[in-house]
Amino acid sequence: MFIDVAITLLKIAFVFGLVLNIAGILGWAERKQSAVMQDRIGANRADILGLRLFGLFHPIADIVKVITKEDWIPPGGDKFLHTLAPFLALFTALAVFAVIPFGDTLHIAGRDIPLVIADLNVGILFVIAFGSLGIYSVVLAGWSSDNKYSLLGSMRAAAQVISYELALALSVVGVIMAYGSVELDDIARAQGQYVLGIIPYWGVIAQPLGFLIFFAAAMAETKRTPFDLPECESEIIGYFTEYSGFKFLAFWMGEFIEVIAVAGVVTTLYFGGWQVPFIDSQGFFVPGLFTIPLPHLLVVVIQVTAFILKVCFFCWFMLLVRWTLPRFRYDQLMGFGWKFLLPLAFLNVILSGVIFMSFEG
Amino acid sequence: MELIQFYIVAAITISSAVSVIMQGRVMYSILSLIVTLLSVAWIYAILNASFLAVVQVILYAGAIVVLFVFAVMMLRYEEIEPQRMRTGLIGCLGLLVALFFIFELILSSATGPFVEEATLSADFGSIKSVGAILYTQYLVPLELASILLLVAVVGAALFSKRG
Amino acid sequence: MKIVGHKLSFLENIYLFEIVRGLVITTRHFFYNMFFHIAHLLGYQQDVEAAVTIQYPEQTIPVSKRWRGVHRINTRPDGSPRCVACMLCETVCPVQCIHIVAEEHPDPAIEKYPVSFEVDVTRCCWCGMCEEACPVDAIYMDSGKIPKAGYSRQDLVYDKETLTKEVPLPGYQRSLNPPGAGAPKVNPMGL
Repeated sequence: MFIDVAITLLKIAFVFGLVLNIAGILGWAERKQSAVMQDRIGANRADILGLRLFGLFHPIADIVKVITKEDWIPPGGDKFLHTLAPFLALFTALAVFAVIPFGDTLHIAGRDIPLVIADLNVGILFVIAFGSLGIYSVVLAGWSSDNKYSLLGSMRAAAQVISYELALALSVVGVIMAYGSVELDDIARAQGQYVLGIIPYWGVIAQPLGFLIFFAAAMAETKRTPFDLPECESEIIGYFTEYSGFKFLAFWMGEFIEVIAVAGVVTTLYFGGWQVPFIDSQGFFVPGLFTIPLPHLLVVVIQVTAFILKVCFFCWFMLLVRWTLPRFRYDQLMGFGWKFLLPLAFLNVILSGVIFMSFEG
Repeated sequence: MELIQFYIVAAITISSAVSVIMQGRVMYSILSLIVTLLSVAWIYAILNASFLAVVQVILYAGAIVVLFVFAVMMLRYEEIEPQRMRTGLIGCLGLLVALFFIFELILSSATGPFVEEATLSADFGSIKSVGAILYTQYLVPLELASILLLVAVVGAALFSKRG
Repeated sequence: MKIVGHKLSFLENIYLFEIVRGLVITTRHFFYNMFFHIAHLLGYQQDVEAAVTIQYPEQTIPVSKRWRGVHRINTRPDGSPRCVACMLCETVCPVQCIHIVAEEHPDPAIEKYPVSFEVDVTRCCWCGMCEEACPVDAIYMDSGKIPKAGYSRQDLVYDKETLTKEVPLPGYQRSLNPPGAGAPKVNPMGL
């Protein structure tokens, strides 16, 4: 009992430590990556005793700046809700990581430790549920700010998130059909199979169209640039216009955590989760030829590292998209969501149903 | 353990439900409604119906109440000042309905069928079992409900075209 | 008003391929620049630029010979400013950024000299009219410098001592007399 609690706490510490650190580094990565993409150098001036370290001190400087700033609440606004909203943003973004499996079951000292914080049997639905609860932080932030531009931003955000949630949930249906389970752990495990003996049966192989829909809808859920109408960094009509200091940091971090969450879910659903091709619990193998046995602990470490690398790759990719594409116009955004993604998601469900049925039959 | 959990959640549910109707400010009222819905979802989770719990969160807390919030944000602040409790015909009617429900509640809890020790099948409340029941035993009601929803969707599309 | 529209082809309308094209361009830039950044760190390929950024206070771009920088007061062989406080530059300055306080010079052949000569570089519009107006080769804008940032407005008002210390950027000198050269005594009449 006590050891179980300790193991769970360890897992929580590992996952949240990792996520929060990546979120902090993403703040730096966003500046540096955009700079490198645009032939610039990027933020590199913050130094400690002359040591610049490629600008890695900028996140620390940001945090010092943000904490020492005045925490201002609009006099006409609602004090309680204004304070509640940023914490909701952080909470709903972080809660998603509870169900994302980051490794195979670890056998150690006679125990089977599943490398996921909470192995819920609703799995992916839990992710969608918390994704939809995330609207409240945005809506409350905009409403409690007593600012019409904030309100406008939060209305846009709410409309956008609701619209894209449909396509998001429907595209997941295809994955559920392909692997016959909603549990993320089962889905990750089922992706260890091989098509024709050599191609790993990842979600992106089984559901290429579903992956595109899911990724587009998930990008919209994170409210970043191709879909950043709720924020509009350049015109500053966002729902957190009236936020300053630490609460603003909470929104900012919440956004990066959402990026990591989307990367984690995309990895788990469509890119094999913690699976590494041709490495399983037996060791490294070439299908039909030979197997090199590897110790269990090494395999698990490789798989966890692979998962983290995949998540980092998708974070990189989402930053790439964010710095490549211009913003949608509002009617284009809604049209894209309702008239393009949603019918496509329906089509995907029907097509994958037909295909899987015909393969089974 | 489960009983303590249940009592806590039930207390939260009832107090937040009371708060929904007693709150002066509409936004807080809606927030209390969200808390109520979430704690009802928690009760489902205690009862091993985890699928139902998650669907409750997705549909009610995540989608329907957001529309309420939308409507409130559209209103001007003066219009949502707390109103005095209505008396007269509507009040009497409300009281009657409330009494009826209380009576029914007492009646059912006094006579209802109770099971001392329920044994659940392993996949109780899972998506598979809920889906199997929905698409076999309750197929006709399900299809009727979906036709109703379809009509609503078509109606909404029609209104937006005309407007 | 004539609206010139671009008719989108089918592939452009789908938008997906255009997204991929854009992503390919940015990814190419990312990896190209990243390769050279890493190569520079390891000491290779130093002659290929990985970024177009100029790290300004440490690096500056080479300026044109006609480029006008921070003002410089030319000096006589004894090191005193060549300025005779004739007020022509102060008068011609369109933004009134030059302030001269004149005093009688002990040498009657020179007549006047500036006790204080201030240039407010926050106001200066870098037009170069003071250069044109000066009759005694005293004020030039050939130092090739951009004024540095300051913490107060007073930091950016350059006084006589500062301006006298400026030297022309090598090869950029516009005056006939380099600092400390030329006739020891100059006045508007007898240059």
